[in-house]
Amino acid sequence: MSAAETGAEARTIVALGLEGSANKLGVGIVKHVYPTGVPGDAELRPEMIEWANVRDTYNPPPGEGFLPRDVAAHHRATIIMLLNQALAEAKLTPKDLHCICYTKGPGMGAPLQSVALVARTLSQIWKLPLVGVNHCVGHIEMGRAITGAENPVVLYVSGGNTQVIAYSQQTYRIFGETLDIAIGNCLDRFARVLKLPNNPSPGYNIEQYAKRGSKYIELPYTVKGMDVSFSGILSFIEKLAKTEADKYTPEDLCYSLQETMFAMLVEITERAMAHIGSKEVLVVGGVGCNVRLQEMMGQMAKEREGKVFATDMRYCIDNGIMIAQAGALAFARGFTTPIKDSWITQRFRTDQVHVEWRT
Amino acid sequence: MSELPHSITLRIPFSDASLADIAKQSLEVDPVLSGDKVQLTVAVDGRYLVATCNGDTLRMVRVSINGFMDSLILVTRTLEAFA
Amino acid sequence: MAEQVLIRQGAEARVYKTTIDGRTAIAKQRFSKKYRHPELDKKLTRGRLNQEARSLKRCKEHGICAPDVIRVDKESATLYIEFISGPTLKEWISGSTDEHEQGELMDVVGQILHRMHSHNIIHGDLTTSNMIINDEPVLIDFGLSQISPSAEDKAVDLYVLERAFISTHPDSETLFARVLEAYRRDDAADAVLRRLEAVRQRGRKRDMTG
Repeated sequence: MSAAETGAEARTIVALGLEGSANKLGVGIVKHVYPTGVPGDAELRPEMIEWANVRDTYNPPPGEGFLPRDVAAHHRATIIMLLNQALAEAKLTPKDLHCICYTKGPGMGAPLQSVALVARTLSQIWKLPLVGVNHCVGHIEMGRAITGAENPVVLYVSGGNTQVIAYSQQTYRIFGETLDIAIGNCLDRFARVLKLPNNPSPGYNIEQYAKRGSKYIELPYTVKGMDVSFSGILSFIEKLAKTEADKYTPEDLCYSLQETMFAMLVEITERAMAHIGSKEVLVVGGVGCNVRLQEMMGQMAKEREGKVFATDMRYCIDNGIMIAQAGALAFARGFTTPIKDSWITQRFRTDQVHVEWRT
Repeated sequence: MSELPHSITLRIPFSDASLADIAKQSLEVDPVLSGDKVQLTVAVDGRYLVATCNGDTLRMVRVSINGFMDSLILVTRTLEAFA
Repeated sequence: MAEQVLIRQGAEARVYKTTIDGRTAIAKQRFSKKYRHPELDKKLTRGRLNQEARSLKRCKEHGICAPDVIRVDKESATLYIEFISGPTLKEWISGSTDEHEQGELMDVVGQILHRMHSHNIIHGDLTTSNMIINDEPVLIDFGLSQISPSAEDKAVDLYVLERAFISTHPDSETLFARVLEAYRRDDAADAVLRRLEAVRQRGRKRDMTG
């Protein structure tokens, strides 16, 4: 039936997305098309067209981590250039946009704030509504859109987050998570101990070293119910690297660290799949780029007659278009964030979001 | 507040009142940390953005104002680029 | 060996119903996970088999209801234990409407957990599927268990159960609160419950620096 026959008006939403909760600053533009209008109670599945996805990463020198103050300075210095780049890439002007989506949280305070300031200012200049987006939900929605996974168990793994999530009744429920630090954080800190370069990311360099390792060194393995704990394995391997550097090569240490920590993640993901009866896994977040993790997850899924979905580095690493994606879905349902409510928050649980665009 | 002895007021001129107001609305949303030791408020007076900072120590005032300036400059650069 | 009927295939093990020495029994056979490095796989499979057997025996020694261990077969990574009939706590809660009965059962669960922790047995995977309601609640699935005196480990044990409760039975906060009330029997339990609050906060306070 055509739009004219049903009486529903075709609708297009063009959303700008701004992301800067950690050391990656991203600007993205997405277009959602609803040829027969926005469906009332049904799940929103617009035609999605990507128009821009640009990013710039702040990398400190090897052996150093990044501090919020320095990340915020990087974002402030770079965002206007990225905005212009994104609009040019999309061949759009501000008149073509419908909403400004930005990361409300979770993440680092000063960086989040610097991006939110720009979002609020643009919103007033261009007279467009603001849409505050949960960073994790951004990853999930982009993953779903790119891979087409129907209703997967989601493993969200990054520098700041490690969660096993499944959708239920308009909420992304957290089934399992880390009891202390995120896996990406653990990898980053170990990379610092080994003084690996931070470019393009510490985790990427650990992955390359691990590929050259082959000796399995026994490390603490900690799964508690559906949760995992990484602080024990981190302190153990940091000690090994410092006190027994003659006995174990960095390649073998990286190899063993990945094999052990990734096995923990695969285990809790599998438990969630068994618990809810799901056959699909979607891996999102920066650590999701890791090929070995994808391999191990794939092996587990195959044995259960299931399937793993993953995205490439355009989307698994923090980016602006995922914020536009999740924001546009919420916006289609009438969700906006008044400027006085557009404060940022370092803590924002994935399950606090009302997922109105799904049934 | 009488308990916060150190104070500074900045008056920043914009080319017109509507721009000063945009800056105010963007800047006033995020609360200042250590709210009991330092306070920063923004207001508009004609085409001026007026920022007032009261703090327990000079250091706190200086740190807050420095942070505020970074944010202000970002907002004005955004206005320059897109308004 | 008598005939085995597969009753469940979990993530880690196949569970069969069978008979041994005339008794109805469960055979829990752990299988290799191919995604794991073989050395890690062996360590986990063997370790968990031994841990489970050890914890079950320890429970029995201290009067905590758990299935009898009939046989441990290391070669096939199979644990033979007494078959316990009855619904899981999960099934029981789903099928119950009597709030008074529910509360009373939660009291018993809290007391059992307290007794278990007072003997430094950490279950490691407390869920409402890992308790069978027979005459008394019976704890099963001790594969992730360990022995530990630390309040932190006991708090995490309860935290795992709390999360399992909430994700499986929405609006079950009052039920779980009953469990904790019954658990709070002495100073040691108090210390654990204070740690539990800290563990809960960690979940809500994850920050990205460091």
